[in-house]
Amino acid sequence: MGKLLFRLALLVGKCVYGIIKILPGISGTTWPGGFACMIKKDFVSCFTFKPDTKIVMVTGTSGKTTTTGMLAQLIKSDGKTICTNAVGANMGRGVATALIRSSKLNGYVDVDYVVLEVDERYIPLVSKQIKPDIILVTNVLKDQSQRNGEPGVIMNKIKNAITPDVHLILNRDEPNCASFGLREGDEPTGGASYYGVAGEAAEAINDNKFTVASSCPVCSRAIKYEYENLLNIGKFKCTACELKSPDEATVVAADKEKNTINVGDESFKVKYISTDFLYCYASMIAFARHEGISHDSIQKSIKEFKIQSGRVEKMTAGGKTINYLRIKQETPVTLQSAINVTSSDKKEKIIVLDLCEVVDFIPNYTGVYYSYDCDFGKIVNDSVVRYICMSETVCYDEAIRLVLEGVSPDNITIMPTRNYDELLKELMKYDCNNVYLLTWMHSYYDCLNSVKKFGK
Amino acid sequence: MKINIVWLYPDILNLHGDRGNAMSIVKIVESMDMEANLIKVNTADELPDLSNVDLIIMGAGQLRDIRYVTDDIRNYEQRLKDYIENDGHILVTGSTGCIFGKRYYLDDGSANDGLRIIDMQARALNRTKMPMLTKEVYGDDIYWKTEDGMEIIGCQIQRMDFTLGKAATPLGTLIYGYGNNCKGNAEGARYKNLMFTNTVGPLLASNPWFGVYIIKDILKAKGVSLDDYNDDKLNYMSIARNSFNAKKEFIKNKKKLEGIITEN
Repeated sequence: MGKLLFRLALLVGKCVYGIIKILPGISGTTWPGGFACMIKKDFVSCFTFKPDTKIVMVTGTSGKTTTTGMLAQLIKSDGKTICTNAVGANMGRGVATALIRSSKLNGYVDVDYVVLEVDERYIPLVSKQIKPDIILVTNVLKDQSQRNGEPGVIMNKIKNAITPDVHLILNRDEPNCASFGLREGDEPTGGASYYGVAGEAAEAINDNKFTVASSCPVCSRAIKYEYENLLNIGKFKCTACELKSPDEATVVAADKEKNTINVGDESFKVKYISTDFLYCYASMIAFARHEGISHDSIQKSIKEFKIQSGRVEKMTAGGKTINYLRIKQETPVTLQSAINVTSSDKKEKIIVLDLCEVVDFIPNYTGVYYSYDCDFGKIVNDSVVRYICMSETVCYDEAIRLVLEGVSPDNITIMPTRNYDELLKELMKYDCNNVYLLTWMHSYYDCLNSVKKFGK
Repeated sequence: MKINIVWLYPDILNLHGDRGNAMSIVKIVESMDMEANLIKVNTADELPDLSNVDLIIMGAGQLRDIRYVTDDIRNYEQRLKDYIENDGHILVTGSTGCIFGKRYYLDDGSANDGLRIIDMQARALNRTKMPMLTKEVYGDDIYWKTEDGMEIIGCQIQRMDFTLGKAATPLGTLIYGYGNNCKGNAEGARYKNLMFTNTVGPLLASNPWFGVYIIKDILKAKGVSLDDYNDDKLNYMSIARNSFNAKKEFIKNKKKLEGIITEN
């Protein structure tokens, strides 16, 4: 009966997938899996694979999508077959949809690799249904507190997915992630390999009386960093216990002038050289080394890999260039990355901050406290002609954040609005044509629409 | 004049941007033409003589770190209790408040003794659903008032339910939000000048009048009056008032879940 129900669910899923493919403008990346899982709750567990198919799960706070994409490209460039889930479809239904797409009608998935991006909150459930051979964890950071509570909650969820025989590929520069390698309990046969990025001394976080460290996931004491490449990500050592960035790791060093990355004796030409990408490259190369994939395949995959759009975009309106830097609400590492990119531009600029109210769930709320986890000192300098804080409600809290970092209130325009037409009008008051907009994805599209209207 | 502020466990208890409280209180003290001496203390052996300390601040921490902090405090427990009994001021936010109660229960089910200063128990919310909120949601706005009627708006990321015993006094009354446990309108707890609130993050940044109140209270105990202090000397006070009004409107208009505490 169970088998019949699975076949029915799979058939329904494949029909829905077929319909979506031919209907224009329909996204529905998880509909096939959604319908199938409604028919059979443990749908994913019923798929079968070749004996040597490797199941790889990529999880973590940030970088999952790019890392999964890079791994998928690597495997294809190496001439292997793959099943992988679409961008953003990283929960149960997305996983189910990927398998529906790749399987035969009897549920047999004939591929060399299954590479799945899995939301960190769902990985215990997904891994019970489809057992991973490799789990790659990008990082476990402060993220969406309204939903996740605290990083420790997510760490426990990921730990629940790790069995002794799973091979772990871990970010050696992120303490929570690195600590997964210290597996307690049963003798871990799966082992662990690590990756990281060489230090960029210039990226040290401003150390003042308000600077704080982070707590060790093993002993709760303070973590100290030799250098921080991203917020709370860098070569580290706990001040009290043995937890530290392991010495044996695939470490990437960037040569920004030549647009290459060096890993030991190997060198690769790359298209994207920002720090976030360096970590994705490092994780991909660590995976390649574990799987015995050649230098040529790695280089080929780097050449062929294309990023998804929307994280860094440029728009032009009235002679002004608006550099959009995407942040994820309640995720300070993304805001800090946006701040770092902004500060690396030494030209005169206007900075627009739109952190927005958090509207993912009912209840909507006004949480912008995560901005205090970031070092705004990097953008408090004479190159900033004007700061503009916008959003309907939290624009004032954004302004307070800047004032507490040392910006004079006289240098801040507060706009209690979500209307980007008004922002463009405000920007036209200034001679400076270089604008940085730090906001989340939905505001980017609002801005884009206003820019298009402005052009007309 | 110098105001000595001990910032306890800043490297450990900084879950929700809590360093904003340190930044704000320093700014508030400086706006009163005084010097703020901020002393970071991450272990017991770094603790200064508390008889010279005017204010202690403790931010919210992860539940995995609470036990370590409690154990470290045991090294100077009596000194801390004496400080509190002598009307020393402490502001504690978020889950960290459980340390000052009688007992707290963590995610792993373990029962841990607190410092037994407040008649209060705390229990980890060991589930992804909070009652009367959508699944997997821990956070919301919180709007409450002190017994003197001072209104505070901030955020709450609730990882523990707090239950006050008969001998305990709440810090304030909920106008909107989850508060201690969503079963009544009690928000936080107060014992002498030990103030615990569920409002996390930089509550003093968005509500500097609360910081002004605390500092004025400290000065009053020193025999210094600041009756002529003009709040607008703080260069972001008017922005904070606008923030408060905007958030009040936001809370009034937003869709509320059944069962959440609202005054009206």
